[in-house]
Amino acid sequence: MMKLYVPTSGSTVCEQLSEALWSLSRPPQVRAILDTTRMFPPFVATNGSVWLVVDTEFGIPVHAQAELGGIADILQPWINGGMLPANTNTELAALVESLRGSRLVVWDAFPALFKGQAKTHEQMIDEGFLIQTP
Amino acid sequence: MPLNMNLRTGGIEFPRIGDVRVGPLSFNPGSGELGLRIPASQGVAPFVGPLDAYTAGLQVALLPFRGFTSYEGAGLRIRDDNDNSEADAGFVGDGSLAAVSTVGSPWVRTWYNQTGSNNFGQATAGQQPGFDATTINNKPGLVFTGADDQFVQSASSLDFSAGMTLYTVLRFGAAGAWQTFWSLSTSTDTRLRKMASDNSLQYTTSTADYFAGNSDLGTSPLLITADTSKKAWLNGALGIDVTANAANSGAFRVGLDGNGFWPMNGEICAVLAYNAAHNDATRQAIEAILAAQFGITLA
Repeated sequence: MMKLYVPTSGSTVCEQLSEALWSLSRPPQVRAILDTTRMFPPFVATNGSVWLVVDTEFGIPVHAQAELGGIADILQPWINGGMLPANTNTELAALVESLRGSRLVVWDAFPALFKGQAKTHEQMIDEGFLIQTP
Repeated sequence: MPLNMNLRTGGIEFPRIGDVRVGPLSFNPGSGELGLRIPASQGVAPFVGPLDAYTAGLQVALLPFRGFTSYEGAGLRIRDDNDNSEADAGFVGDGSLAAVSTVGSPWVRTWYNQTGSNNFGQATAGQQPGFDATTINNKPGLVFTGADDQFVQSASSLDFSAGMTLYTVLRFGAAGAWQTFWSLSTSTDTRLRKMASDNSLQYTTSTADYFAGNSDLGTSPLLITADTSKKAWLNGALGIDVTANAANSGAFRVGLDGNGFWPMNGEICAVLAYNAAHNDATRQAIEAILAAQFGITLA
């Protein structure tokens, strides 16, 4: 398992992203009240920034009713700000549609921008975002 | 005792006390008696919880078997990663966990607390431990991967202010890393873990750490008991005996320390926690029950 820390704009967005990713596999309409709701946990760094802790090997079956939905909403400000290509959501929606009924390694679908900003556990320690005392 | 229908009177004859008849379904034309005779060997004895005598002060009861007659709920909620659907696994007549059938790998969404409340759930898929039907003594257990699998219960009703006794059955899977299997704090004040340097048991507080020297925890099944007066027993033998009090409040966490680091890498099969420091007799009685369930030899 390879764990990477992906920066987010805050705890709310981090949680929404985790829930939206999980919805690709278990959309809300097929979930029971006691079911799993999120894919990856958040991490709060020493400076208060919130990171999504992604298992880069984590795979999911993409549900037949999966929609990009919440993920598109989260990415839209980045697109509006010119940090992500304008066609990002269109391409991701097409990817989700093509993968319905198939498996997806979630990290593979992350936009390159976020992959480039991701840090390893050791990098988080080295750069002071994480203090791990024995 | 058979329940008979008398065809002549049309009435149901309830068996009399002491009227025990053994045999198959029968019909006597002469008497008109239709009787379902249940062989004594097929009778089902009522379930009796092995821990029924030890419910006083019980706050946490996470077990892969039904521990209490009064508990009628499920044992685990399992996610099947083939389609990520989930279902509860209950207990069968003898108290063992019902067979878990999944297409993909099974993961534990919820470890139901057999006190009846304050279940230990993990809503984030990436932090759910795995499920294995045959761990210690071929009993079901949870497999913590050494990543950040954990269960946390922060309910204020979990109150250990008057003391605590914790019983855990586990097996470490690898050496060479700090591995926390229990903590009671949002920081690192109170935790039990395996040391990275010599694989011994460590019990930490905010001010000092205590070690069970020469207690290589190895990879064999272990029953570890601890209380908040800083005593700890390994398979019934006292390993740590100091007089510093540990913190007695905070999130009750299984599999990780309060800061989210030093994860467990191995199997955890049982966690019992009481809100009092047990005397030796009670502790030894509970240890004996758990040891028998998991085939552990006590010192």
